[in-house]
Amino acid sequence: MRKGLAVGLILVFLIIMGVLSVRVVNKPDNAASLKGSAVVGVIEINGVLGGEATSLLTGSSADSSRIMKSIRTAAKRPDIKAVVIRINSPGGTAVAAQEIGIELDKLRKTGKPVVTSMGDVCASGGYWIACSSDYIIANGTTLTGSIGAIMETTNLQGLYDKLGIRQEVFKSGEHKDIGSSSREITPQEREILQAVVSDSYTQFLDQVKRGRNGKINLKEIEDIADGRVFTGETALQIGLVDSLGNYYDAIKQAQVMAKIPEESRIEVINAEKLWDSLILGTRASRLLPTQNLWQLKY
Amino acid sequence: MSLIDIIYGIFFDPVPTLRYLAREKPLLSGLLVYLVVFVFNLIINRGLTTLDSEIAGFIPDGNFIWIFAGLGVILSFFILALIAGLLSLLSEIFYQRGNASGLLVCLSFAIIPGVLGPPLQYGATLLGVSWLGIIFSLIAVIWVLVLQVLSLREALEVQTGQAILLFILPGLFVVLLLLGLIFIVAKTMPPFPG
Repeated sequence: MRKGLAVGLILVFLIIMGVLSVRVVNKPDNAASLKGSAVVGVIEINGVLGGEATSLLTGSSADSSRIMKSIRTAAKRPDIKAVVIRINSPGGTAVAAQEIGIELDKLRKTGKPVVTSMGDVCASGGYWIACSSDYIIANGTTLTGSIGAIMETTNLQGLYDKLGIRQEVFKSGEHKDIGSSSREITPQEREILQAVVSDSYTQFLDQVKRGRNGKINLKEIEDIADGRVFTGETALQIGLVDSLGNYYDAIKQAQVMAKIPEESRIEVINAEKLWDSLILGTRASRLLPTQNLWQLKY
Repeated sequence: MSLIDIIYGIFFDPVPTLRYLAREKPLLSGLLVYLVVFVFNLIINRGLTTLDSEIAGFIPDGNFIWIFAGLGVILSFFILALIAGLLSLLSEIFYQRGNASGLLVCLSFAIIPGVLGPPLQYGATLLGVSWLGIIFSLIAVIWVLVLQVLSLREALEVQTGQAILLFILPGLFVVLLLLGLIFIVAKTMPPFPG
């Protein structure tokens, strides 16, 4: 009886601890709530921005769907009090940048401060995303800016002629094959596509104006928004970023803005898992071009 | 003896219990207990890592960890059997006494107090006294080490001193081998110019 009681008590203790542990393992945010500590969530945006990566062959290291999911996680989790967006991206598709930016704006509406930390490059679409944060920190030599939109097509008509390839097109309307690689682009088509690019560019200017309100005016933005890149230091002088510093300065800034202690936990919400990195190593996208023949890009 | 008696005995009356295990050799229940303790500690340690990690995102993916864990379980069984066999062989060589299967059972059960270390450390971490948890874990480790020496003594029917010597002999051999290798490499290496 005494033996059974002793072993039973040990077992009960072990079961309680096991259950608590499984809770933490299954849902890491429980760790912080159990310990009662605040968390600074870090979301990494590395590489060319792209749309949803659903297969190994078309995967992008900075696909908007995964990043948006991480932002939503940061918004939902009560233990995450501030978010640092670590950007190391030269841009990518316009939609990817826009989608991520919209999600960040929603996150900020929850009252959680968002700080951007720029890595090697935070240009074009990367800068669009940065404009959806409350505070931007760049390194002195970070490459940033490149405000503008671009669309490219490749005319392969000469090559097709040499190879004896002729594309037969059946279209419902005059411009259905706009941007086709098998023929010269018409002046009217050029006008249409230029209008798309211009409209997209205007949206970019609006985004910068909104994001950098009070730090740089529209006239100043227009003067520099010709696609050129700047160092972090120049960007600070112009007003494209708020201060110079590294990743940990950004973490500290987020902690200050959220009024949480310096010893608060840091959690990389979308950290690349070991398994992911193994898969990424075999992705054909590293070897093959992933873009369509024409695509609107920031 | 029932399993409850054995578990109780390992905690509170280890010598006669280990003597009984060495004689009766309940191998299946021994390996089962070993497996349960191993897996349980794995779960608790995983939770502890998550709980104590400053940068939680750097913890490798859960699924991947469990693949490692599965391999770890298989490997640990292999190592346990290897150690039992090796120590029994050494005992036969030095003291003409061997009992590999009895030792295997004793070593399997000797791990039982080790099940208390990680949960106590986990509880201490939750209460914000991590240092106390580390002390608990250390005590549990020492407790298991003592039981392992007792296992050797009871299973191989040797003196305590002989059991300690047997216990440290493989480790000592590895250290001496490494020192010997370092010495050989140092002697055969050409001198640095100048």
